[in-house]
Amino acid sequence: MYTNNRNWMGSWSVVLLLWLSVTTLALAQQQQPTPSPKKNDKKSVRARRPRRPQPVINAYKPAFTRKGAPRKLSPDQLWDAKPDSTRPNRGPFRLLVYASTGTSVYSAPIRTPGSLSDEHQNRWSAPISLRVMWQTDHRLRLGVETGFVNMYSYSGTANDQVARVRVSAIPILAVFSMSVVKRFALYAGTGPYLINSHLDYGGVTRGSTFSIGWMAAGTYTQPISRNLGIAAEVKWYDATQTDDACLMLQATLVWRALTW
Amino acid sequence: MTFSRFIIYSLFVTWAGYLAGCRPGLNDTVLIPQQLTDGLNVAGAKLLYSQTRKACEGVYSVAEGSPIFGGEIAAKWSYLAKKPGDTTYYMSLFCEPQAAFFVLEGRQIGDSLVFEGFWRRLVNAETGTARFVVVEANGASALLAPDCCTALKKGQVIFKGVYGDGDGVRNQLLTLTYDRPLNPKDFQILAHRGGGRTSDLLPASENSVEIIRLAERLGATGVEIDIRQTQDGVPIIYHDNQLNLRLTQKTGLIGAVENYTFDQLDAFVRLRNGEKIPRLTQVLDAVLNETNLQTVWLDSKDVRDMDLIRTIQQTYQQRASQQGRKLTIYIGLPAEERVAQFEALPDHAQLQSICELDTSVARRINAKVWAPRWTLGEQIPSTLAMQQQGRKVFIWTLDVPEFIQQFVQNDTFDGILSNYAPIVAYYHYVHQQ
Repeated sequence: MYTNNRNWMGSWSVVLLLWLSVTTLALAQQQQPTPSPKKNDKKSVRARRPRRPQPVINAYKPAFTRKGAPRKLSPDQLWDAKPDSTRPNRGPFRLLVYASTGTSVYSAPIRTPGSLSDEHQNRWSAPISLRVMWQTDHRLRLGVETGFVNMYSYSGTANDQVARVRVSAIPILAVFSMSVVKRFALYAGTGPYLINSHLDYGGVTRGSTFSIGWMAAGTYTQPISRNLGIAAEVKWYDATQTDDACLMLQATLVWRALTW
Repeated sequence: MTFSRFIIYSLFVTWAGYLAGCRPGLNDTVLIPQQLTDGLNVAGAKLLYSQTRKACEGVYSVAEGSPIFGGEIAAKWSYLAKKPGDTTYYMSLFCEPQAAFFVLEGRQIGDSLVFEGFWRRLVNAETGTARFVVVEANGASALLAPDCCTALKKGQVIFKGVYGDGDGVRNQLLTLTYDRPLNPKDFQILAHRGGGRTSDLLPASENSVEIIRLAERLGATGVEIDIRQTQDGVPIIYHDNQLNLRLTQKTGLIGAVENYTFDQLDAFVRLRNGEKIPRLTQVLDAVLNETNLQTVWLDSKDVRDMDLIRTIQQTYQQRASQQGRKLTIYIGLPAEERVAQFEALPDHAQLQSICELDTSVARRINAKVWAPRWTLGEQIPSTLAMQQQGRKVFIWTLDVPEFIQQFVQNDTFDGILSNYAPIVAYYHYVHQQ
């Protein structure tokens, strides 16, 4: 009887880990009560020193220039003033492009036919991915992601013939993202994966099918110029219907393509 | 963390969990208990004579165990000829609730008849073992008598049984009392996809040689199988147009099954329970040589060479005639395109065919069977008109017990195609005309 050893716990571990991350980071963002300063506490004394007054920005009532014109607030000022979409002066909106490459390891079981001998499996590959995100003026960002990843391949001998099988995937995903702490964002997406198979055994036969699935990722971005940044990304692709999944570690070039 | 944010995060996690849950249930399986016949393989045990087996067939009323297995049970024998001189006989018991059925083997031990085997509910994963004994005082002497083929009287034979869940102890009682003979009407119980669907967790995959061997134990008198042709033209039995995890084990091969050669499928693809995708000829060999099935419905899912299918059909039909087998092999025509291919055969009007289109097409191609979809209703006038023209009428694919009962009791149709052959068998055999 055929049974699958696919680690269900693995899938749920990822989900659980994701949930814990989100919850922990969200909790970390909550303002902690400020402890009352103690007497003779040098740090507390230093904290009480008067600082240079910071300009007060009211996103609902924009400040005015000396000439009386409304002052245009910078995106960061807007974000600091009221990071949500309820204020009257919406924006800024940005289009961010992420181009990534790195390494992937196929994380689902590879099942090969029992008739195959001298078998060799390869789970590693160099995936590429391209993501376009619409950075709105609230926390949730929307976008699309595609790319190419060689999921796995195996080869061996069947009936004295060399046989090779290769399976690859092209994700076509709708992606949602949320910046949970400064420079660190979580991504989750869903949509179809175009799964392709390539069999070389007594002739070449190619096949393809769509497999509904999901993805999850965490990205740390370091700005390197006004419109460019680099990011490190850990990503999980899961094509559910075909039981394919891979874990990826990628370096990403982030380009702020458009701001309005 | 605000409550609304908590709700959003929880929804996100739920959604992710839902997607994870969409994965095909590859771990689902029903393990039929093994070592079922240990109690039969004892010193002095004898195989049952054919007249004894025949006499056991009938409708039994259930005295103990009726809340679980219903008020009546139909008993029917079948066999599997694994090879010449190695034939195993099985007594199947068909019940009404939840498509439950028993598959038993029998022996004569001393003056008693002993039956052991398993039971299974087809609508869920429940299974277990069962043992029945007919002692001399409960009718064993009548069943073992040389003239036992004469009709039994009501209450003359009592099967005292026990059954249990899984491999557990058999501690629940089930007593069957002979009531009447089976419904004698010539009626075809046609098992879909060779015997049943893989999703119903049968011990063999759909459209495999192994499910064909199992079909009669599930109550079938005929099977419907799905024909496709490989890239190199070999007719194979496979339902879907794609290789997928619903039907096959994961090997990385995907896409249209017609794109692969038979050698590629044979070397790389295994059905969910480990069987190979069979050639049409392998299936027909199994039907002809190993079973007593009476009807084969070749559903032409994707046929490029109808002439080849006709040749294979004719070859096996002739072999069946030579062996004296009551076997009819029909070419099923589910769509206009197949009908056009079939009509292009010069001798199509003489061939055994099943037309799933309307009655005018069935008349035009002289189909021997008209097979309407059951959701179109009973269509009694059309059915009677077809039968008056000498055609049979099979209805497909009927799985709802209430409708199966309704169509059987209607007494008009010549057969029902179903994924749940045990239910059709029950309603047919207990039906009193």
